Amino acid sequence: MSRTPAQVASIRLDPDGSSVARLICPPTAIPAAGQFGLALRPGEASPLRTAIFPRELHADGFTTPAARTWQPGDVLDLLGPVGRGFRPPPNARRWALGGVGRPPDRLLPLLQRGIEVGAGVAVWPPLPAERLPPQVEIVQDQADALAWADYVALDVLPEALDEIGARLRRQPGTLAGAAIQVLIAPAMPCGLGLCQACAIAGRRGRQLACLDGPVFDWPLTDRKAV
Amino acid sequence: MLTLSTGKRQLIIDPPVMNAAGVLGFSNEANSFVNVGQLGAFLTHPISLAPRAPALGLRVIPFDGGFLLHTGWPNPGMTTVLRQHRRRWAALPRPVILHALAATTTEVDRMIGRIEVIEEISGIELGLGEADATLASDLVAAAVRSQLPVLAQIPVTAGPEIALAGQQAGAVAVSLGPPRGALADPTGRVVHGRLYGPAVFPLALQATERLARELEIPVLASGGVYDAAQVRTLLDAGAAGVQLDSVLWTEPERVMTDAVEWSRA
Repeated sequence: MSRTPAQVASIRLDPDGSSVARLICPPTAIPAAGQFGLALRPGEASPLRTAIFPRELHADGFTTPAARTWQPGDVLDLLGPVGRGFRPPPNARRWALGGVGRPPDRLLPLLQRGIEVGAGVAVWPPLPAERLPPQVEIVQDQADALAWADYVALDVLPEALDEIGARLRRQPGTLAGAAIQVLIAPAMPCGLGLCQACAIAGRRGRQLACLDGPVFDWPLTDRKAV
Repeated sequence: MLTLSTGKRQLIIDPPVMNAAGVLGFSNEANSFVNVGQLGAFLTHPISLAPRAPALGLRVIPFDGGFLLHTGWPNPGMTTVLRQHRRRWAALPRPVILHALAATTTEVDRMIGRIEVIEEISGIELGLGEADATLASDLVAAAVRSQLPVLAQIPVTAGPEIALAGQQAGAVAVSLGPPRGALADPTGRVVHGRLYGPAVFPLALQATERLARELEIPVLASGGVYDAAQVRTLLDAGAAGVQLDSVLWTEPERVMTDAVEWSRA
């Protein structure tokens, strides 16, 4: 993890109304799926860095939701990549990717990886069709997808952790053999494991989303979220 | 250079610029991001006798000019912290000040009993939180029985009577901690917590001026410092030293290098 300049090459407006920035940075600074960076505009006495997750990965950078104050041409101070990303089992061939309490846009880099390795990929809730490769199946019934998958990757609001834990426990198929990973990204002010603000209670005790996560193996996090 | 002495133990902080408790972890976790060797002392993350769990609910709420932090000061408890970090403290290039969280004199006594025999600890900063003058006095008096230099940390918005109580009880310095405030989370629930960010600086400067006039012991100022000029402003206002908080998570070079030079001037 290091601090690197990242230039805002462009900002586009997506069909869903969100502003998405295209950042140019060295390859070593590009977060992998599930990882994030912490960005700010230098010299403005920003109280906090902004956690940014990639939506699309490129050889020379990535796209991410644009902060309100960013402008094309800005050179950001990017700290990262931070945290542990998704680690699909090499032999998994049926990937189910889902957002719980939020859209699955932070799973898009993982979706792309699944396609590249030849896995079948299903995703929920629905994203605009133009944002999804044609190979991806949009899931209508999550229970079917969870029963089908041998790898499940979820992006979960911290407040929804109990809900997803209960849902997964009701799915005998997933308990039987699927590898499950959960992205939990509470607010992470420092990103360095210093402030303890992102602590999550898991089966192995208190863990920090910025260092031990933000992607956790389930059921490591199958406890009441704090 | 700042020298804090109990008569039996001496704590030298040179330069008189250090991190605030809670921003650089328990020991060397921030080594890759902040050069502790440029600071005059290292303050640990707040440590309580028993483990403390993280606060429930939303813990960070931004506002224009800063953010509210509501963590509950989670930590694994003194026994675990000492086991995990004592050797790392020995390797730090600066004196280590342990920030202690205690609500009763019994807790202070039990913590002091463990701390005072640890040579890697050079001082104690006692977080007084929202204690009134009587409790503050009792807690500080219990802590000074250790003969370690004791810094009494009060919120920047606390009344001067709290600082005076700490002074009278034997604290060698008063340090300013973050002010407390409240904001509504997205559901409308009011969340109380500590305030950080540039918006806090005016409060810190005002408190520094006042306490530097009213106290006989040094004042370590803190709150909303985001550039080296603000360090100088606080020193000129009467602070004997400055503690840096959330700027160390964003652009520490804005304060570290110049601040160290300025404090030497």
